[in-house]
Amino acid sequence: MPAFRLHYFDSRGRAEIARLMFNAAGQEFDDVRYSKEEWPAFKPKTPLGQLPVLEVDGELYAESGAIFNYLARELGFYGNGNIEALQIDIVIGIAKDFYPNLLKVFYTQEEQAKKELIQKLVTEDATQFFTKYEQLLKDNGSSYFVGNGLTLADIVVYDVIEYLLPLRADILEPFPLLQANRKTVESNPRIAAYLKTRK
Amino acid sequence: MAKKFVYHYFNIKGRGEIPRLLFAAAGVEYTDDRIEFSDWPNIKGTTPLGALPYLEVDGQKFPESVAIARYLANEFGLAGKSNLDKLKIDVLVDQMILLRESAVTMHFEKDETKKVELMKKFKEEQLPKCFGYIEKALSENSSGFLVGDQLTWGDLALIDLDDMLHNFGNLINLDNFPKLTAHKKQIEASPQISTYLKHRPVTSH
Repeated sequence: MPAFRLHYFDSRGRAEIARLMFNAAGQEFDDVRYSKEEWPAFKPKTPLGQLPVLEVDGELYAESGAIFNYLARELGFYGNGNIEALQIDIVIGIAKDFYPNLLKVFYTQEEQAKKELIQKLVTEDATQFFTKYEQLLKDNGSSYFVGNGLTLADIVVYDVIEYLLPLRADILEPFPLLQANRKTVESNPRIAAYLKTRK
Repeated sequence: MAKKFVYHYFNIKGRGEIPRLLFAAAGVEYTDDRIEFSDWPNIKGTTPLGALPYLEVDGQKFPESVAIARYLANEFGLAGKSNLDKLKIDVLVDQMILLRESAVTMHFEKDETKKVELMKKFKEEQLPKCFGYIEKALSENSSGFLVGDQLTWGDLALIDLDDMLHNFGNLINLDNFPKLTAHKKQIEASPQISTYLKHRPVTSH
């Protein structure tokens, strides 16, 4: 296994999925966090002027999606075989369609506009999004999205829902399979331990 | 036993051309089901998630264009040889997808003032960032391919992106990117790709 360092700001943000994977795998890594003051010095050293960056044996790689897929393959969270990999990518593809709506809410400052965007996010958008996921869980027939064990798919969905629950606590109510999947992820021993102590 | 592939998408290149390029590059037979927009309302309910494209593999249906492309690339050995190579390709493809989305948003923006703003951002920031990164990757790889020493789906994604930018009113001048110009020539000259390009249906985008 290579030597891993994960570079990001001092928050969960776009790095948390990688942190969840490292912890779920029991894989050592350097969790490097930059403050607002420290970031400008590191920025020119990054491939694309952005974070997160994954350092693998001293080489720097950017693009969170690409990093997650790579780590999933390295750490054994990418399923067995090409079809399961495809199924995982489908779950991620759906999440990618949803993220822009989420980000819009975070970046909108104006009170009224923000309120309206949140409302749309936690009703229409979430319903569309969760309905697809509920269907995929139903089709797979286990408490995981793909196959019979934890994969990147479960971790990605877990992370997205983390952002939505504070906006609407009962958002998963119409989706029993998603609730069960979330419980399954949370009760994974290594993840449970990490969730207790994470920043 | 060879897998039976059916690829369902509209009769355009749009967001669905890379799988077709992959089938062509690998010389793998498949059914290229091109759906007319007028038929879409009838077909929508038969798709896995109410959208196109979707890929059928021995009767099992899979949506999500990027997932499909990556799957086919891996099936056909066009996904890079090592895990790090796969990462490098994914980084490049992610950049291309971002640029594509920016171009689409800009192209379809109706508000003139906003459109001018988006165009400025596109030409001055987004395009140089993406293609600067790609040009750098090509400079660091003597084979002429994006990653490694043979064709990967990253190369196909790139010629598709370049094609799309031209369809949207020549958004890119390849004269500024000599490695890219050479890359385009190299990929399009390969026998399977050039044959495919000669015979594929001509569509508006």
